[in-house]
Amino acid sequence: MPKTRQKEANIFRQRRELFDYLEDYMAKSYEKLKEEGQLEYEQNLLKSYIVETNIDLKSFYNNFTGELDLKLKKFDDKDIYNLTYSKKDDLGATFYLDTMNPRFWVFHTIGDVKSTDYFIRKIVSPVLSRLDHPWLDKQLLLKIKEKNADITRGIGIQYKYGQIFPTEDDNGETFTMRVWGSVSDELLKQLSDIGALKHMLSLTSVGFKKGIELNEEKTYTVIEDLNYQCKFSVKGTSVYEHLDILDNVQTEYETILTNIEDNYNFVYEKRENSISIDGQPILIVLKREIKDLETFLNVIISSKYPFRFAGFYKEIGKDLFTVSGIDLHNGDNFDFEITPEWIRIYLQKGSCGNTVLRFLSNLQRYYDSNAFFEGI
Amino acid sequence: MVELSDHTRLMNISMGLAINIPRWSSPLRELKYNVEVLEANLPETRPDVILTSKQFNHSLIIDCKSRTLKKSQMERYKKIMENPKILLTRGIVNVPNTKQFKADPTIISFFDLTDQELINSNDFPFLMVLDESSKIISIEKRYGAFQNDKLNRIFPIDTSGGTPPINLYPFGENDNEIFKMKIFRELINFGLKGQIFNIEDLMGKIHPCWAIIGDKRKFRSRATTLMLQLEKIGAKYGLNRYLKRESSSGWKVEIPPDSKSVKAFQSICEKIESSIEYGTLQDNLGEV
Repeated sequence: MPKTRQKEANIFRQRRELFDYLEDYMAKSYEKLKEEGQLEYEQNLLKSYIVETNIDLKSFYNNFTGELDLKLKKFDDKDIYNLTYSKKDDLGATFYLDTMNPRFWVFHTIGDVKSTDYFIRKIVSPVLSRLDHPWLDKQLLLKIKEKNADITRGIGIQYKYGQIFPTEDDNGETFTMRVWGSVSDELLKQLSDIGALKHMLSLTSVGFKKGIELNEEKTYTVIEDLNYQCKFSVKGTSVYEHLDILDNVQTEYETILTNIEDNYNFVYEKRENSISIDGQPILIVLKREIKDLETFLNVIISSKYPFRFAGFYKEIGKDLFTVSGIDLHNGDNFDFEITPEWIRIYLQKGSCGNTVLRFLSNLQRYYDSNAFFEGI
Repeated sequence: MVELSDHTRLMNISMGLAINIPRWSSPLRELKYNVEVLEANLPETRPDVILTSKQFNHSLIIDCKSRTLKKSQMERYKKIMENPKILLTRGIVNVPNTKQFKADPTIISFFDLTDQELINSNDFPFLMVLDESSKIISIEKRYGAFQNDKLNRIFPIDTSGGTPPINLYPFGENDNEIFKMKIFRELINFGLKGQIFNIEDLMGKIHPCWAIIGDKRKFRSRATTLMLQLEKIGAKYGLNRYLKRESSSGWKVEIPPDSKSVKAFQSICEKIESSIEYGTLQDNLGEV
């Protein structure tokens, strides 16, 4: 067994015991970072991944244990588990899986990032996995930072049009940038004034610091690096402050998700002799006009990453197409009406709202960083 | 380019007036009208859409028409207008104040029917939808008056800056291309879940109003013909690797749950679709 796995494989029984351990671990590694600028060999940052779920734990275990050799052990406390996975090629990690919110599970880990990222990708990616990331669009990432940060620590931008859309040169149309420092916000504002970058400023991560002064001598600090797929990399001295921030993010996202599912999903309800209808479409407005709708749609419904939509489209008017699609993450049907300037999305009864949140987040990352929901 | 049938377009336009549709005018929604009923089953008539405002105790009983009006149907509407209680007693419409309830049969069309005697003699409101190069310019009340004065004041509705919805009522009997597209999408869905399905299952999934569509024969026949054609010509395109007959009336599609297989199935459907003659679907109507 690899050494890292042995080190990580602490088995906990109470939440408090786990989080006290993680706080101690965080504080030690934070001290090391401050003093020496780097972590010890095989020491990793605490990471927390939120995963949006539409299955129960038993199905999750059954679906993935064959490939990932899962070991799941309950805490004495409710809704929290020690979870390990292993692979022959030396990958493997331990997670502490918190399922208190059945819609949003949290995987905490101090495992090696390569192994933990691999695991999350592995459980989220399969067709009909019914597991997904929460997808934080630019507006939501900024809102989260604003609500939770005392100091901005940095921002990440990744615009990758050329990775999925046909482009004229090999390099494609891409723009990536990572900056650190409290002036990051100001830099983002300045960049948005540069015409050539106007649709390329897709915010994919934010870093921020929060400090809590207990008294004159003692201050708790947490430094978060949160990416658009709800992965937190955490430094500092307070795991409990991290849990509060994580809870804020989860609540913020869940509010949007349930708003979509409760108020926008179309419900055609059969009555004795008739049908009544409730719901409304969701509108995404684009600031970058789609010049060739067919080429655009061929990418969107190609079944491939990142959109993961399959389906068919028809042109039904000048600059107007209709799409009958299926979200491969969950098998939910959806319909679009799409013009060069906007996309109207119809979700059906029981559909997962994450379909449109993922769509917007990826539109920002690959097509138009200024795309936004109107009216939500 | 696919041309939707006038009936389907009018259904969507009418419903869209009372549903919050971004980039489309929904003035009836602002007056608190809701889509109460689609294709209500009334004696001798089957209005397409009923929009009701509980606030005004008022319903619009909308019939989407081309050029022809039937005398018997118009007479029936007149009776309903004179005695709208039938909508309440049958539980089709619900309003808080039943004594004050009023209903206006309303004809909507792309054609100018104002010179038709049946419009003039029955005094129903007639709405004309004006379009220009497939854009809806406005909706005008060309004849009659609603019994809710606030409603009379919203016409003409300028829709020139908007795009009507088309997915509220996705297809009617004559919208073959959309019909096929919805079927292919559903085959992927059944295929990923490995479910056995029959025509009833298929139709129930692709049309939100399937449960109350009056005459289902044409749809059933068309779907059956399409499935039989897929079986027949599918081998040429490799569809037989996925699509199997399970019983005399059931099929099964099996698509391995990975994106490459879904894409491959999707491509096969696209190729087959272009080889299915539109006429073939119609020629076989009534066979099943």
